[in-house]
Amino acid sequence: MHCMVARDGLLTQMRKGALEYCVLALLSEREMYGLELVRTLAEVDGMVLSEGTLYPLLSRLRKEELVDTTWQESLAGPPRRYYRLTAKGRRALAEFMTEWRRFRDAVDALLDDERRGL
Amino acid sequence: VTTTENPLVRSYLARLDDALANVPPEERRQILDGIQEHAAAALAEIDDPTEADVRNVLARLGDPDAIAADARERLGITPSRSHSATTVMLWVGAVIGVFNLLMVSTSQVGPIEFAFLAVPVVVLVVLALGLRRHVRQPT
Repeated sequence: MHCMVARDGLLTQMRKGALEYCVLALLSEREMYGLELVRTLAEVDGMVLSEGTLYPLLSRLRKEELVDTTWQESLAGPPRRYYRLTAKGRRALAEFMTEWRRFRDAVDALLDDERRGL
Repeated sequence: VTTTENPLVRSYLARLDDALANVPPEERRQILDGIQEHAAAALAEIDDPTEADVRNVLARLGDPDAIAADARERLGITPSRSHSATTVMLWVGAVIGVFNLLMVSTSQVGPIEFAFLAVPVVVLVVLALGLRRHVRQPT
């Protein structure tokens, strides 16, 4: 029971940490407005629990100057605030990708050893 | 009908604004604007949205308290309530202590004066223990 709770907590923290870089990765392809970004993330299983929590994350990315915003007219409805990656954001994403792959390979290698032993 | 005129959206945003009370003003503004724009864009996709449509958009956004809790975690803000409680305790303790010390120093030491002297000592010991626990907590 205790183990389950700890594991859920770990997964939640891992998701939260990785979500930041998933947003940067999506924005590295093209600029997106909030609703569009939420919907794209929602297609990835278990990435976003409640849509509203994306906005504190975007605020943090703006504060750290990894992302900035522009207004664009929309054909349907009010003008939209588009989020786009800055040069600093691009560098942060590249660094994370290197670290992430190194980390993932190391964990995979250890887990494979474990499986061989079982 | 724009989102800010919709009473359901307005009350949702008001609840969120309250919940974000200890988030710095710039981030608070950005979060509120982002969510307001999100609701506006989602409702603009529906022809003549019903009350159920509005409720659905807000439900998907999630509970304002949960968003605020997430914001504090993301932005590294610790709730200040326990801090202010400690500060009040410290001030009360200091005032009592100074008052009692003055009483003792301006009068002759008898059993009553000795009791006055004991009060600040006890208060200080309790405060020191409380502070130690308080300092250890965040780690």
